[in-house]
Amino acid sequence: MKKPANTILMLPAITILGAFFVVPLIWVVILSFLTSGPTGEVQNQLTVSNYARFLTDSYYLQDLLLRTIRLAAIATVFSVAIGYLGAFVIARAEAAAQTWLVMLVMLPLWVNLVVRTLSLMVVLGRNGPVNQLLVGLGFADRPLQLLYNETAVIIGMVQVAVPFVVMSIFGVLQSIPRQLEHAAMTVGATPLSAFRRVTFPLSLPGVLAGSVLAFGINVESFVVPILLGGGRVRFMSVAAYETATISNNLPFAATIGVILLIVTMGMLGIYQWAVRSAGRSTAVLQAS
Amino acid sequence: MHHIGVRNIIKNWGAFSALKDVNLDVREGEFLSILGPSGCGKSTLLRIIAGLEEPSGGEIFIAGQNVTLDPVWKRKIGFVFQNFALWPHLTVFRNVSMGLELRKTEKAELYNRVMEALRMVQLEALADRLPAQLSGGQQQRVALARAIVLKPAVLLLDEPLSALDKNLRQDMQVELKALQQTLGLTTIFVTHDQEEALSLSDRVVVMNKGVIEQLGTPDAIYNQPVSEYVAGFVGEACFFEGRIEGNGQAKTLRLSDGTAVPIRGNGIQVGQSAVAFVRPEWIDLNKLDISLSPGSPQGTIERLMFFGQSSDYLVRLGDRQLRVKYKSDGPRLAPGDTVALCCVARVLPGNGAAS
Ligand SMILES: Nc1ncnc2c1ncn2[C@@H]1O[C@H](COP(=O)(O)OP(=O)(O)OP(=O)(O)O)[C@@H](O)[C@H]1O
Ligand SMILES: [Mg+2]
Repeated sequence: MKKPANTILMLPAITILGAFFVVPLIWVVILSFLTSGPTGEVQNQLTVSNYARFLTDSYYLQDLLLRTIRLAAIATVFSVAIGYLGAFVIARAEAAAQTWLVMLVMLPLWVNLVVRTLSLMVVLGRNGPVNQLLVGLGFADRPLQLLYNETAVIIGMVQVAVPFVVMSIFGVLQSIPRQLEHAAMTVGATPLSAFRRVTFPLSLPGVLAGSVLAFGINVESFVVPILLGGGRVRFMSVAAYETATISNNLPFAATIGVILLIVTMGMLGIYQWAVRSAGRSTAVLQAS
Repeated sequence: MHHIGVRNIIKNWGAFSALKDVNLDVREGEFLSILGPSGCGKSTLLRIIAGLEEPSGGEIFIAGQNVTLDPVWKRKIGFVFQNFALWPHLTVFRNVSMGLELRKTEKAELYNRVMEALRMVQLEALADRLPAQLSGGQQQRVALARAIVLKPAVLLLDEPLSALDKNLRQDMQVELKALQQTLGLTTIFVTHDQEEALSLSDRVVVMNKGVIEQLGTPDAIYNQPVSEYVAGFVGEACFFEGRIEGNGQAKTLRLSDGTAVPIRGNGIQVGQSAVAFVRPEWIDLNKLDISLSPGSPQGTIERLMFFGQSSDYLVRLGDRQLRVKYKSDGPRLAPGDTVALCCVARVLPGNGAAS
């Protein structure tokens, strides 16, 4: 009954989404099948040569695409581990403290990403607190090179993704009644095994949602690999940017973008499938 | 010998004290109900016995051992939660088997014991279902099977039937009692349903605001309450206040309006002021011969309520209304009739003040 009214109400949103998201996306996809001339002008001639170039060159395939996926995946594992811990601590804190802890987690999101990443560079820098601590405590003879390598990029990506992971897992943990753990303890489970057998399996939907989110964010990273990688760590989005600006080859940049998009969508698809096949618990949790 | 001992248990939440020096002995194999209004501390007491809550003071004994410092998972108890608290991601079988898995029970024995427990609650056919695929009554049975499969020393039930509708509830009451007797389990049953408490229990505890008001058999609780609170909470009661008069055996309570009510009770002393109460089914209404019961309180019938096997008359008595219960073949009275109340009221001990 309300359907027609709803559609009308949603029309502005659909229009805006279409104009600013779908149309440019379609244009990028078309662009990726064109080529650019010697001076960078786009030539209106459909071809798959861009894709052929990307997929046959081990530099693009191995050094760029696989590295991007690998770094994003590693960062996702750490983000989820750290995020789970954070979410758990917040979920078990007293109600009054919870509000503050959630604010604390969200706080970084209000700071510009570039600023945040730059401050991380200070922290990891040659004379930064981390190096001073390592040298001061005698773990290292002289300051270590913590910047401009893959580790730095991973740390940066983790820093970006963790708040999102915390929030998605916290939501699920919050919805699991504590009584379920108490019930396990009444049949002889220690708090640890009660967690392992009850709370953790029930929180898996949150873990899955958090990892999808983290991977999506990480794989699209741009500021982090540029600043923390210092040009030495190749990354898809950075390569797309450089191809478009420095090499002045818009169609090939579009190709890199589309391939990144396909990979991301593919990973999300696999995840969705995994969630659904392991999803009996998800459905049950929502049903009860 | 007592099987569960509660000694001087105190529980404070900040400045609020939920339990004030509670003492209780539960005998081996006994079915004991804790009855009281919402918020009086029933669940808190049960959870302290289970170890799910820490007392602010006092001690808990189970089977002669001081378990006050033992965590839940070391106390040999079975616990049934008000909303069952089944694990939604595990099948009925796994819900029941978890306790045995944690004890590393050997596979064949585990299977046999789980199926035996499920058979006791008539659920062996549904072993592979998930809790969400069960009705409320079936979930309740799973919770019960989960609690008894470990053969616990004591069974603690926190309003286990309150989520069920009335018919199912009555069936489950019978089953629960039968199961408890077969297994000889020492059982504490928390409820705020007085009929449930009276009909199932060997003894009943009536609690009020963190204090035990009375502990006794259902009969004693109903017929010889120790305070106005218990008399009013367990069953319906109409109270009379007055001064005790007497000539020989027959003693009466002279009310302020000049009428008198015959009374009985222990330690009645002529001249004292006292509070007495009557139950709706103790009263006889007398229409024709008001002259035969001179001095009895008189009232007017306001309403007749027919319940099938019984009928209630609502009688206006001065500024209050009281209920009189009859079998349906009782006297034929109509609204507007003036009646005399014939009854023997029971005097509450200690002037009816809370003891
Ligand atoms: N975690 C808590 N923090 C503060 N107060 C609490 C807490 N748990 C219980 N209380 C208080 O202690 C009192 C007793 O609670 P309890 O749950 O034992 O009541 P109950 O008799 O079981 O009531 P009901 O019949 O409603 O279940 C209540 O007044 C309640 O508000
Ligand atoms: Mg309660």
